[in-house]
Amino acid sequence: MKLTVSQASGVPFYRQVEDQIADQIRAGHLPPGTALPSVRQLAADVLVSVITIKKAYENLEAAGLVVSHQGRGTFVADTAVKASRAALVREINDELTATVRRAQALGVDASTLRAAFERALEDK
Amino acid sequence: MKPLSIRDLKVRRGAFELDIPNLDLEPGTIVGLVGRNGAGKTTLLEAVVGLLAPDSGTVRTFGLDPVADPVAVRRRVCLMTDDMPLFNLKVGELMRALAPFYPTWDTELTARLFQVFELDAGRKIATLSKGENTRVRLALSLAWRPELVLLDEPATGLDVPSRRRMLAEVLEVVKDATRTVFVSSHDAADLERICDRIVIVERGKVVADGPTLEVVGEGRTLEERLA
Repeated sequence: MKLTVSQASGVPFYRQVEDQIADQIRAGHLPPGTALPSVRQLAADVLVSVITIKKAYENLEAAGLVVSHQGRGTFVADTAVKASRAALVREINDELTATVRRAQALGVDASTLRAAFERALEDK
Repeated sequence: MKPLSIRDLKVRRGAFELDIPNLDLEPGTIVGLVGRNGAGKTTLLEAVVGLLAPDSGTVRTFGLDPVADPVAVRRRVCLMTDDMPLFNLKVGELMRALAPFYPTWDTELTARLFQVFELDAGRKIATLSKGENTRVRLALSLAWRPELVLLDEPATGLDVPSRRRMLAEVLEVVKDATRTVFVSSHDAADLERICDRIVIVERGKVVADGPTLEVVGEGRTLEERLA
């Protein structure tokens, strides 16, 4: 598993690790059942603290992408693809909501927004 | 027994006083010690290995008193400092001379550290650059697999690739969840990267202590936190 994190990005290390593993799972590079490296091994490989990797693994588990078995390690969940799809839908929902809020704050009315949304849908 | 347990510690040096009511280290963690010059980082690390005796209070490493029981403590705890004296031998001779003093000296690990830190066994200590000297001191400090590794400014004189190798070797220590690292550095970015916990000292007192993310706060770096 190849991961690289950078301080320059401004994104917390645990989030960078979490996102890169999530992407590899979604892309099918890490199929269900795949064992992830141990927390301490991955920390040494990526050059980040043990607590960073722990937090990334915990978040991935909370998102349903991995499961950890006490003493055996952490594995890509069987339901990872489904879970990641649900997470993506949530993410898109959040982005849409944020866009609508911003438009409202700027005084854009509902019909203009609807028209913009329709245009975006049509626009392949 | 915890690798380190400090209670009501006071160490006075002239007008300076180190005052640590309570500090414990947990095994398997890397803890960063941060503070300005003169804040008391080196004094604290020296007190941990018993180089400085407390004026009051207690220091225990693995339950042992480093002042009363220096031999037992020094078999489990290393302190790498900037001014650690090295005999002016060739690097390889120095390692061979020191190895027998450490029952846990690991020759395989020593060979790997020679490679990682690009040490030249044939060079005399006195001819080494600052960075090369630091790399030798790092190798010496890690080669016998001490259970508690105290590093005082381990990046002095290191270029970027050597610094990354140093960080990797420090993380290598805690692959064994029974070993512990307590490291002071002026490089906030490095500490933020590898430390599970950050302790900030100011004028002899601990002013912040907690998990790295909590001490630093999201959306900023440790360097910004210290500024």
